[in-house]
Amino acid sequence: MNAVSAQSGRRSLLLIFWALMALLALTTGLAYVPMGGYEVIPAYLIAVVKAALVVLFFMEVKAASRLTWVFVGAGFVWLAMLMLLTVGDYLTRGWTPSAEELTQHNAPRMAAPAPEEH
Amino acid sequence: MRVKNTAIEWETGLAQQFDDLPQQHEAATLGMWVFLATEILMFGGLFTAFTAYRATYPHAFEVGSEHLYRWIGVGNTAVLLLSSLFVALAVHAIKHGDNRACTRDLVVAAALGVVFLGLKSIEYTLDIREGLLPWYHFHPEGANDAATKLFLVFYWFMTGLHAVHVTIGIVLLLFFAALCRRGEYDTEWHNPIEMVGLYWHFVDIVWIFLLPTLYLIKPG
Amino acid sequence: MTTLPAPLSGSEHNYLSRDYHVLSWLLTKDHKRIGILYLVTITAFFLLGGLAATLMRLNLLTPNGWLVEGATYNKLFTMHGVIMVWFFLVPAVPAVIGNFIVPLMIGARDVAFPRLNLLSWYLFTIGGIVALTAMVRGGVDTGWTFYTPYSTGYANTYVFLTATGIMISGFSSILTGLNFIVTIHTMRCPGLTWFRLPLFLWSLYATSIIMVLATPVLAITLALVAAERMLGLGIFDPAAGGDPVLFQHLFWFYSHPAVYIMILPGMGVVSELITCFSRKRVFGYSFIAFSSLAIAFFGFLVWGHHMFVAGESTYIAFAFSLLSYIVAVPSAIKVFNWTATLYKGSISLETPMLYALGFIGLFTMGGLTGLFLAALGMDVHVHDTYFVIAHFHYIMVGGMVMGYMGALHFWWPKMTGRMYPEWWGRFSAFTIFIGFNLTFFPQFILGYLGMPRRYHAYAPEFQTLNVMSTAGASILAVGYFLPLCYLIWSLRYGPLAKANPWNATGLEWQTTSPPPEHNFESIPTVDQEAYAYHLMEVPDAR
Repeated sequence: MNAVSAQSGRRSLLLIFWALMALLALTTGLAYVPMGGYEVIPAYLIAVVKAALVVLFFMEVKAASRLTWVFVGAGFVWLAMLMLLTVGDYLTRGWTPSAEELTQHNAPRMAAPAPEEH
Repeated sequence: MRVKNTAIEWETGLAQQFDDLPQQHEAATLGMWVFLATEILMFGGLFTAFTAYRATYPHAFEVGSEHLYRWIGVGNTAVLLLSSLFVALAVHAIKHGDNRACTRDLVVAAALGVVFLGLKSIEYTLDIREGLLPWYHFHPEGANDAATKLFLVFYWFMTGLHAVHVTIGIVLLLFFAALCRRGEYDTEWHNPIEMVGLYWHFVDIVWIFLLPTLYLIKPG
Repeated sequence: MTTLPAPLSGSEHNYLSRDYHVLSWLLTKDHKRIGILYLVTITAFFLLGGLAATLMRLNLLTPNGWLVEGATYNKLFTMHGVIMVWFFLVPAVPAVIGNFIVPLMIGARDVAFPRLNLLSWYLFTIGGIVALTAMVRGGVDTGWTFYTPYSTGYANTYVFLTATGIMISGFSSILTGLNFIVTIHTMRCPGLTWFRLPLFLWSLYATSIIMVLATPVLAITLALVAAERMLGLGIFDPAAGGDPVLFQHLFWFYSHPAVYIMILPGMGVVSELITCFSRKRVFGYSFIAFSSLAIAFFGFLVWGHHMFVAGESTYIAFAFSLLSYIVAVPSAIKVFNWTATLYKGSISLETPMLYALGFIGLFTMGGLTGLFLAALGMDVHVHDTYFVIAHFHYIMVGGMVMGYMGALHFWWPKMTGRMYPEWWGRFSAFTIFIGFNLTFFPQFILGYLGMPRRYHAYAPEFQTLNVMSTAGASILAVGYFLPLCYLIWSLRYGPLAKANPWNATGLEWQTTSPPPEHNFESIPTVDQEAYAYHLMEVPDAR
């Protein structure tokens, strides 16, 4: 715990801070570049990197016990389960063909037995 | 948190159910992380609902995002990142036994939290003036359908819940800064400073995700 | 590492006789006293929830609903559901038995955060009072599930107040879970490695994981419902672009894992009882231990099976159905291992063992009918019928309440220092088993025949089975009333309990009954596996 290690510790924290600011500038700049609907991917990727920097260095998880890693991970893994299965529902709702589509698609086959019902 | 034992004060800060300080430190750290996992899932419910609606109404959510003040959002991110840096520096300082620097850094971080809330209040005031409050004189400019209103509901709910966390964080930072000034902590015993630091960084992380979620949706 | 001497426990004083002042209870940080506080509180809630059930069963004696009106009936089943789920089943084993036993089992002086522990009891009680206020002022009629848009836009009852009460008690649940996780991780006594832990602790650990990770989602969902109801935001209102099914996603992300919050602790209790009363080491220790964790994990991936007919996409329904079958595997592993433990054991049928055996049988039935409901096609047929009611009552009452009663009898000597009357114990265990089956088995048939749940009247052809069910419910009521009487009786007149009346393994039996304030005279050390019954001397006559 001498002055040298104190100094280097402070310097690395400052370094992380400037990295975070650079990423903030980057994500703000990218928000003005149209990417045809895929803007969301770099935006969230940068957010994940920023969050990872904060977790690993500011929150000192990089040097923490394995148990801490497990619980940090658990929060995000469980969030991913909630997110993926819920949003999965919304993204796949449109996949099921509607009744009209089915009727049109099967029109030739359905047309034949129809008169028999009378 | 420092526990005053009814029986014997064995060691500074040691609560009587623990054997020694390392055990207590391990318990406190683990407890804080479990709590933060809880918080992740709490905000996570909102992010999930938001994402489900965004997947359903992509265009309306872009329109909604256009109403927001992007530069206040970006500016506030910088403010929170800076305050996070100061909290990290405070923890670093107390680990090296520097009470004065720790107190100072905690106060600066809290002050930056107040700046954040100030900017947020200005933004909220402007929002309300433009009629963006969904349950009070809702009249935003331009074409807006029900889904745009939905976006704004989530904007208020998510930033509101975050602001509550920031407020609690400011109070905690100042409280422990005061204790630190009184000389309660040293290189051996500084659990509470670390714990409040973890909480404050978490609040920062939530905002890191709120920025692209709410402010950076619409290109250009 | 400096190990400190255990504090003096004031010689002959135990945790009960230490201080009799009311404040010494209301401000206690002692995990044992907090467990007792919970015991008293949830017993009161159990009686209230049971009262609502009694009125419902009486009403269903006749097809036209002779006792109460439709609106009152709606409030009764809501009250029954809300109280039994959040104010009885969720806290029953973790908060009562867990609080009392966990630090004893791991050889610690207390839980990691005693003040949070007391806070969690206060939150629970305040939440309960808030929810009860809503019921007294006029009740809620949404069902315990609060489905939108009915709960947000149409119900003219005390939804907001009830939701607030549940949210407050939810934070109590989170704090309890947090405390257990940290306590089990950091406060085990020397020599007590993970694979020497009693299986009760593995299952409570898994339960705590669910409490901590699922409950916050319920809190935020109820907050959204409350906000929508107060401010008319339209978050779940189709007319305003919202989606009611989203509410169901968020609600069941908590409420399905909550089923495992309710059943996992019961499974842990059964592992303790089966080994003790068949005098054998447990069969497949690590399988039972890891199946608890597997249930906690996979239990989070199945919530969509509550929504097969609610409008979720067909494709996600496939996924949820498949995952629901997967969660049956670890549950089956447990049942097989318990059965194998019984095999060639020297079984004695004391009251706790009767409850444990009842648990295994009834839980198996509840679990297997759960597979019916996880099947996409079958679910359409029996969805929202009495089949579902019967299924989850076999899990929660047949499983969990049996487990809770078994635990209460097993650890009663440790908690109170008195033995309960054994004959009455066995008698009421049999009464509960018979009453339970007579109440709920007819409901499987009723549901299969198409009687929908949540109606105060029904078609006349269902009357015979409904009368059977009500008759069973009266027997069940007697079965629950008896322990209430003889356990209270035993507090004064029961024979004094020895430190280890069952000759059980486990650290909690190595201290006096009841234990001193700081649990142990000196911190114990463990040098063998849990359930080393094969190494034990021939037990003395009890």
